[in-house]
Amino acid sequence: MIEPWINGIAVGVFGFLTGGVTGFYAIVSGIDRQASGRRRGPRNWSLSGTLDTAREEAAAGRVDWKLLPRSGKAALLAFYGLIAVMIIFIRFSPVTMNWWAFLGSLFAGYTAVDLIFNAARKGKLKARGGATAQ
Amino acid sequence: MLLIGLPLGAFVGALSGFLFLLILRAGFQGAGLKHIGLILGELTALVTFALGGSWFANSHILKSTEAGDMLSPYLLSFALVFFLVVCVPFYQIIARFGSQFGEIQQAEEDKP
Repeated sequence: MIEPWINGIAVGVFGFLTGGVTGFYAIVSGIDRQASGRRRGPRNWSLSGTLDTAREEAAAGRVDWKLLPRSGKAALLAFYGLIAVMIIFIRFSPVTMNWWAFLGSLFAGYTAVDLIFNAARKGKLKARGGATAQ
Repeated sequence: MLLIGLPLGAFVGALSGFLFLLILRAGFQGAGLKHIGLILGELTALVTFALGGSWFANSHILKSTEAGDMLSPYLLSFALVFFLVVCVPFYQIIARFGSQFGEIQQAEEDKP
């Protein structure tokens, strides 16, 4: 009923956003690096007591909502929200699941967030309203 | 059908994008299973609206249009506009967060 490429774009949008949110959550929580035992990159920087405690909890396999930093909560909520919207959207619309488009855009979203974050960290990107370190 | 599907999809996409951000913002204020259930309910209502709820079924303006014909342009513009509306604030958050990380890292490196 709908063109296959439009179907791919509709699925790709959700995949890209989900990948982006996943990438952001990975940056904030640091679960991936801690679990693999490697210590490098921004995920292991000491930012605040709250973030350190959250990391320790995550490394021990416990993710406590109250201990997550504000940005981590937002990312986690956005992730669950997007997944819920995507499932309902695909279930009740003529759009059908295209796994290749979804996985490709998921990876693209994750990479895009990583690139934006690193560029901003190095001062190559400036956020609107300016950055204020706390 | 392009003339109806594209602007309608863009309008509903923009509206849904802003509503999605507002729902997430509201969901951020509280915690607990009841709160998450409410948020999921609102998101379900949002998708129902986006896919053509009562505004489509009861609309006199759209009565003469065939839904199947305008579906492709509608979905295309809906997906793209929704993406843009959600992406812009998300980009700002990541860029601000990265800048803060950079500043903190710089401050830690500068410490004697």
